[in-house]
Amino acid sequence: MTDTVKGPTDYDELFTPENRDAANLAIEEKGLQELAELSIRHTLDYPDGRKETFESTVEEAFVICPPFRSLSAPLLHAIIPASVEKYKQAHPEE
Amino acid sequence: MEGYVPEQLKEEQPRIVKYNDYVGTWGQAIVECPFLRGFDDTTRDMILEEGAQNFEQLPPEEAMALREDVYAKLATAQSRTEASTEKNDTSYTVEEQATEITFQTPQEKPENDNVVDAKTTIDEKLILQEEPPRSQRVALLVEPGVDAQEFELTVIDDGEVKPKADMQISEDLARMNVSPETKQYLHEAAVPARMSDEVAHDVAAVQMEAVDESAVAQDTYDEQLAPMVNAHVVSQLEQDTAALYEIRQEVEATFDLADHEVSSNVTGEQEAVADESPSDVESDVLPDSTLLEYSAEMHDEAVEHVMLLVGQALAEQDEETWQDELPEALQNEPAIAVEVASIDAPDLVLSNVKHAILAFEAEATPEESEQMDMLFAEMTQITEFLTELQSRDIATAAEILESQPTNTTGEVIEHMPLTAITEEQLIARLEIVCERMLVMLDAPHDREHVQVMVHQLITLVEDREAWDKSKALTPEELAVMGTREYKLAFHQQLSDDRSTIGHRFKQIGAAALGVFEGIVPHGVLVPARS
Repeated sequence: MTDTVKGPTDYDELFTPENRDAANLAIEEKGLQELAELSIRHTLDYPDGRKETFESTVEEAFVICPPFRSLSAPLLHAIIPASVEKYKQAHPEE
Repeated sequence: MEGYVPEQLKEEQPRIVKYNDYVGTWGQAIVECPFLRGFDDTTRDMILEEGAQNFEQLPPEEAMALREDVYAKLATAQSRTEASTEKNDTSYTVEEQATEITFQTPQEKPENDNVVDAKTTIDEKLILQEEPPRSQRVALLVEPGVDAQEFELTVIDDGEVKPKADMQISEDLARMNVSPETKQYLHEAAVPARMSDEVAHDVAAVQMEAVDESAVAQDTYDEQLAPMVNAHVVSQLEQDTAALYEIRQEVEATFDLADHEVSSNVTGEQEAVADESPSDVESDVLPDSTLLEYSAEMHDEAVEHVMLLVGQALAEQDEETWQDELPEALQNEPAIAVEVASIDAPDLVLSNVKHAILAFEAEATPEESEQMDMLFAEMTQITEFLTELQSRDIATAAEILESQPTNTTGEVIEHMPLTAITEEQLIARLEIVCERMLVMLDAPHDREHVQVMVHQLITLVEDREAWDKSKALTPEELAVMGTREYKLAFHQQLSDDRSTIGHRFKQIGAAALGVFEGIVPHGVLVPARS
């Protein structure tokens, strides 16, 4: 099965004003401004075997992946570092 | 009792998680959400736990509605899986549906034809797919001898799963020429006597896990459904016992208030029981091991016996019955059930109806009383028609019908050609009326009960001597026979009977009926497996 790596531009259609506003609102409400610009790497693991990894900032992830918005601030603070670390491991040169 | 979920069942219910607009079981979410599956197990569990807390913090009404949605989605998914299996079409699997509910990249959609874009919600996607089978029978899951209709579920258009019996009630009520308020009352009165929503959904959930119905009947019942239903029954019986204990306390308190001398033959053990809390009494009187062996038949018989005692006490204001026999019956239902096994079934049904009427009369609003009066009037009218049909030729009967005013709730008689009305049709109509009465009385109203009640009425019609003799029967018996004047006389007697003990007995009798007819859903009890 395919395992694609995508960036924010692959999700252009999702970057609607509504989604952007919802993402920014969630970041503000959860006090995640300090983390918003960090780059993360997260994999979507589809049940049919496809895997789709996207690399983006936290802010962009909130646009691309709505479920992120519904998690609590403490949980996001707990899980985002792991995603940041994955990004760093994938891009050691940065 | 509506909305009540026994602790045992709570433990067996899957936890439900909620994120934004997504709601699903813990297991569903893992399958359906690629977002979740991208995390390691520990992180995923943390996210799921938070989703579960999101759901558990919802108001009970909203949580109940969402839980129903989840079960409906499970049912829909299962029906598609079955349909897919039947067609040997591998395009429909639970796993592949999962790809539909999270976002898809606009540029690269999977080959699956059923995939839609990221903004398509689960519900929208489900609607796009083929309709599930209209009905899913789970009767095979149920022990032989249990009324299968009680367990037949139907998926209605919006995906909601409901017991078919409930839908039948709704359809029946929709045809009735009564006010919306009365329909609502009748529906609320009827549905609890069927299978509770919790049990219905639990049964549906069990069905979700099986594909082969023949395998379901054996394996799923043994492993999942039987303990689930038994746990429900145990819990219900425990509550019955506690409620009956309170009723017994009321009985004793009533005698105390009326300055009756407490029976001197109360044993020390009984006194000790009286001092205990209801929960203590529950465990002493009906240990779990006993309850699990406690069959539906025995329970029904015990209930009927207690009803007879209640009726006796109501009719005779019999101190001995109230102080000794009834409390003892309440404490020892299984043993007493065996002793009364020989009681004739029609008598039990009529006894049940009599006491249901007592309870109804004690609590009915004027509107409800009016509705019951209409049913009684129609029943009287039909029985009179039957009498005439048996004593005169059909042409004369038609004249009689023409001379009658429009019946009160009639849907059959007034719209049919009068000459076409036969005895069979009148009896069929009588069955409808009797069933409605039983529904309104919140008494058992399955086909057997209706037929027994109709049979009693027909017997009276056929036997003019018995009909005449009926005028010498007690008011309660006459009320059951459905003659309006007798019923009104009976009602009047109850209204006049406001002496301390008698009035209190009436209330206690109503409470006892509430325990038996309201809390224990008829048809849910499943005999313990040997």
